[in-house]
Amino acid sequence: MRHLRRILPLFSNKYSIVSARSCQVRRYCDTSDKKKGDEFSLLKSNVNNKIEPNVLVPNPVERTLKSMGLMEKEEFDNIDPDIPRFCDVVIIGGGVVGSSVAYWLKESVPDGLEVVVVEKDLTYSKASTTLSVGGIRQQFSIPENIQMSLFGAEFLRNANRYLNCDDLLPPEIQFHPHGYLYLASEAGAEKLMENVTVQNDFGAKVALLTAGQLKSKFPWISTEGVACGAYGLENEGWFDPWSLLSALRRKNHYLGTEYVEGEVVGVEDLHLGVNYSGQEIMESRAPRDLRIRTKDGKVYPLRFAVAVICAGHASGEVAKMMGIGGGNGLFVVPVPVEPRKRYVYCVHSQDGPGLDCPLVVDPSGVYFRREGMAGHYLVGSSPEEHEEPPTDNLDVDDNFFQEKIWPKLAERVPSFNSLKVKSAWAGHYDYNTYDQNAILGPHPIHRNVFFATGFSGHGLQQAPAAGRAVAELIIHSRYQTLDLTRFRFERILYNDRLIETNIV
Amino acid sequence: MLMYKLMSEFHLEWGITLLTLNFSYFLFNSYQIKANWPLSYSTILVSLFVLLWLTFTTQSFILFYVFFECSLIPTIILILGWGYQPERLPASYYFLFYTLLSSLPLLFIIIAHTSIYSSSFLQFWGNFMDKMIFLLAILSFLVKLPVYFAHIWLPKAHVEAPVTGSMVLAAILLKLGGYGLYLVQVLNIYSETTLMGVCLMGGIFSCLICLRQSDVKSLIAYSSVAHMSFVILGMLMSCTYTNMSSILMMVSHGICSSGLFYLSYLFYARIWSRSFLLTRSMISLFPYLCFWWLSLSFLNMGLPPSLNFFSEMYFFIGAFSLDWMVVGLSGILCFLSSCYCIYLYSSTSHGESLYIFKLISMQLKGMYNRKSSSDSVTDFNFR
Repeated sequence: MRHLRRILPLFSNKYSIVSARSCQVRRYCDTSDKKKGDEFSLLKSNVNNKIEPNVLVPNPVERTLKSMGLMEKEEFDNIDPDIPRFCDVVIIGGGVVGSSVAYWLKESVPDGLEVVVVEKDLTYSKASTTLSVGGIRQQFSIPENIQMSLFGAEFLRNANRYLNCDDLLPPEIQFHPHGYLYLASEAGAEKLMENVTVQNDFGAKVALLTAGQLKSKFPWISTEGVACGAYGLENEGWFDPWSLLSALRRKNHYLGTEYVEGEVVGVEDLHLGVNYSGQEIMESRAPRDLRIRTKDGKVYPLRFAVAVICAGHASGEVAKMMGIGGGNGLFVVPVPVEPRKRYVYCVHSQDGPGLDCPLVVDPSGVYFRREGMAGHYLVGSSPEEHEEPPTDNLDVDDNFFQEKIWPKLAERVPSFNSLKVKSAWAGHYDYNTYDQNAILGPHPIHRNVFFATGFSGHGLQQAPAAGRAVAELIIHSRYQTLDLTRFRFERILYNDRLIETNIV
Repeated sequence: MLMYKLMSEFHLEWGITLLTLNFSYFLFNSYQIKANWPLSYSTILVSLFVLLWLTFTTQSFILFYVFFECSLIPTIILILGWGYQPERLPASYYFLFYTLLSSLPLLFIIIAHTSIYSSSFLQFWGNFMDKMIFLLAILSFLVKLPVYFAHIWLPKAHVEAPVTGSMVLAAILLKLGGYGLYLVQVLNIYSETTLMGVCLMGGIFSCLICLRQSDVKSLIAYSSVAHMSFVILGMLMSCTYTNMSSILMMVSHGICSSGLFYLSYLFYARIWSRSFLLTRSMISLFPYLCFWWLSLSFLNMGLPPSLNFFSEMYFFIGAFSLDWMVVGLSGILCFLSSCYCIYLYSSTSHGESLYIFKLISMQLKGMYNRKSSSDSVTDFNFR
């Protein structure tokens, strides 16, 4: 009966479906700050609505003369470069996730949709993609994460088939399938074994090794304090993120996606109309116009039908521009993605583990992997919550290595007692402060805004699967291959965390 | 004199009827559509309608030609000034140059004819033995109609034009070509089988192209090509029935096509995409609007008792007595045109409901009763 009462308005003749929806939404919005009698203010404000010439259509006669070349040359120089004014899908953020969404969209429907990717820096000098360590693993505890990474590995292995352009050389992703080795102490051993069972159930190939087996397989490990380890036998390892990104971009250019270099500085809503049904008056707005600022400082508009936010660590800010976060009602919930700085150190050790070295993750959180064949290793660790470094720059803290990483590293691998730090860099995680898992799917109210962000360090390995998922949502309105419903934005509203235990 | 006789005998007020209908659409639009710079918009549209009125009512062929060409200018200003995308530039160039270059020979022929026969109205009494002159005389109208091989300007111009521009283009400017063909009275004399073949196959090809479009406006534009090739066919048959069919087809196409353009604009104004992938399942959002989509699609495909149906019937009645091959191929043409009409309606109105407009199901299930996110995934498979 209770459900009937809620569904009945939908079938009543008085309400159209759209207005019923707006009624339902309104019920959960905060109306306490509205004065009584204020409901008609929206109507009143629309009565004297003068149509102002907007930036999209300047004076038409001038515009005509300009386009026929009959006006002065100076006027022509003010016309924008190749920035499109209208598109079907705009992807904010051109890193690996954004390029992946563009790829899957264009691959399914080559000419059916106009896709534009807006990227702040097309050299990707500060992008998380290119600064990433480049690992891919299936050792997660959430089944969807496992499946996404499995597809990621399959994508990498078959990159020649997915990303080839007819006349050009096939892409080289340089996938090193040397596996991940998660070590667990006594305390974490049971959880590790549970996770391994789940992972193997879902198709990963992870072997559980005891301390003795670890010692015999990897003699350079010191198994002190290690109860067992999980070693990924297949589809795990590392690859070159820059190669994947360039291959995706090249394929996108081939398929007709347009990359625009500019920063999104604002999003304007389009006022669709006022629904007044019953006692509630709801204004329909939807984000429709992007404001892109190019390198020369000019701001250009771009009208879109669907927006996909893949802006990495800046996703929270971009969403704020759309009104998500800091508004009224459901808009008070922001996209909880913020940047977190992570350091990566490239060290050289003469007597290090050698070629048969997977990406080893110590129980303390320190990880390292081999880089190249000359005895270099990439080392890193996530700092404690209270020691998070400031994110306004990408400067590297050498003390972090000396104090936090080296001791634990030397404990685990004795030959790392003597090593030399060759170089170091820092990159940002798009850290999802809510539950460190991806946010995929549309916003509940602005349903033309999709998110593919918040991967918290797994963006690179989950990019192919996430891109495909978002493309399926846009084109087919439902997930067709992997069901990633649990990553939807609404889980934040439901106060429902997806806890992933295996984070690095 | 002959022109006046034609108008009274064959009731050529249909051109004026068309104009009036479209003008009433325009009046309706100007209230609904918020155009930028409304004063210039109205001025240009009014000037366009005045020119078109003059084209249809003038008694002199030279004046007809002059106004025929003059109607290009307001249309170009509409497309360039109020069109959306940068692609409107090549679109307008295609439109302008196709029309200008094809009508220049007609100017020479009029001048030659007037200087020889001292009458501005073209009378082909079979004196013109040269096929080339015959073709050149009607080339302008064929391009305007358009016939298949000279049709490239049409989808471009229609897609890039603003809504009123598209409506006027589809409803009236195309019919200028048909009106001109009728006036010139040439097709009755030369039974041109090549042109018949081009029209038939061209019509079938454009129907098939329609079925492959991903842009709603582009589909409606290509459907114009198919219908207008039907018009030329009717005139080529030189039979009263088929002449009637051409005229009826022009009138009914004017109504359907401009209506469809307006309806597609209504979707475009909400979703800001013309792609079929993003404008689908509109029946769940705009149920009463989809009634009009259905009606206009039915009218477009020739469902009785629409005008379109009568035009097709008249054509078959006339053509059956003349040529079986033509009947067969034009039957295929009619069938394929109903194919794309159904495709148009079902793609936009039905189909899987858009994620971007799905109902929010959490209100139905009760937001506060949820315990875990591992509950049923049927929420978002709600169609």
